[in-house]
Amino acid sequence: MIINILSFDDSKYADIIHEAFTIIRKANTKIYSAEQKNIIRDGIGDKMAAALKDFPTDQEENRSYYSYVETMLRTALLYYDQTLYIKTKNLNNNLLIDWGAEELYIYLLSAIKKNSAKEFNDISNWLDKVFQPILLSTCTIIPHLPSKPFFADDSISIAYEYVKEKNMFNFCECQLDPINSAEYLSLKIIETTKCHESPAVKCQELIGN
Amino acid sequence: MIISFEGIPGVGKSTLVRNFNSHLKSVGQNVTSIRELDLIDGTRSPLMDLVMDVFTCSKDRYFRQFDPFIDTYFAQAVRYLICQETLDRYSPGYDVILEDRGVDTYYSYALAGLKIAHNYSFDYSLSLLSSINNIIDNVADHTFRLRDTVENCVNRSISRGESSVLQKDIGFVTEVNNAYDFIANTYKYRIITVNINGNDANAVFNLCLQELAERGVCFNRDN
Repeated sequence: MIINILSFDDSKYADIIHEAFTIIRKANTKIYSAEQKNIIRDGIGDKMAAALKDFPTDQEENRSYYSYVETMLRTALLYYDQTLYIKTKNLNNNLLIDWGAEELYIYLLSAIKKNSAKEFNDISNWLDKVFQPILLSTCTIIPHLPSKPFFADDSISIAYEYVKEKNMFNFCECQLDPINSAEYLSLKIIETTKCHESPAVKCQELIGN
Repeated sequence: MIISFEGIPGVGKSTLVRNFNSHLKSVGQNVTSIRELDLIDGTRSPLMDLVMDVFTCSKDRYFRQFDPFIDTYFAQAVRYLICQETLDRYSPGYDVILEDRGVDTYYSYALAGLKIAHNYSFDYSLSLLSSINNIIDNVADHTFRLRDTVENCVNRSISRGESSVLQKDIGFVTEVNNAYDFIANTYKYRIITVNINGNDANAVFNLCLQELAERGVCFNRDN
């Protein structure tokens, strides 16, 4: 199963997630993990990532076109990463990632909505086609500290709520213990891997909320 | 008006575009042509440069990246940029824009790649790709699919001293040719198939003019 931890680069959550990944690796739990910051790409992958780093975001008159172009480039890079890190691996193993398709989907939904006159439904229907070759995660855990909002960016929050409402992905919102957040998250990740048989139901039972 | 010319390398697209260009100019039309990824005024946005830099970084002309889905995503990004930076921007300034390869190039190469690498049927791939592409209206008003055998196209390229299809790419180009047939058949309402059948460039040009005339498109000094 693929377990995706979603946080949208919020530094507080990023630190907790990184620590949780480290705990899991040290615990030798037979969970293969691939953090975005440790991803190793070849020449083409590097070029794609560099192009996205330089992607212009301030092109007022071209915004909707640029969102569509950005969608293609980011999806190409995700497909590339999935080919390297997921499709070549034995999916009977548990794979833990922090760069899943669900994060990109929400980001693109939010970006296109901001930059075009299209409605969420139209964008989402289109993105479903674009994402057809993309592998979705078995379970997407969204860590949540009681004192913090899920996402710092309002437009991301709105897009997330839309996707959640449509029941498109298997989201598991996970309220963290504020004292031992990383340990708590790592424990929940390990518990999640135990629900291989029927992840949609069991993830929710294990993660709770 | 945008007129596209489609077909595999060596089929005679560029010659036909040149003939159309000369003819349309001679009858007083304000016409220009773009070849695949070239732009009308020769300038590209930094974003187009960025995307093209990645898209063309592989030495393989046909399987540019290691999986045709990546090629397909990039080709679609390039197509959106061509529309934005060329077709949309320049259409109002010209009576006719001639496209040496249009949206059906994107479809045919993707269909061939996905079939070879992933065994996807043409039907499935075209339905997927057209629904991705359709978010922007980027289909020419008239499209000519020039049809000939791969062998004839290769021989024609060689006789013109042009860089020909390499032996290792024949299988891929054959699949592209098949994909063009499938696309032209699916989109009969917008694609005019012109069988080369040993006709020379002038005869093909006249056939195309005739086809346009049958669709009510005539170019002369009065219009």
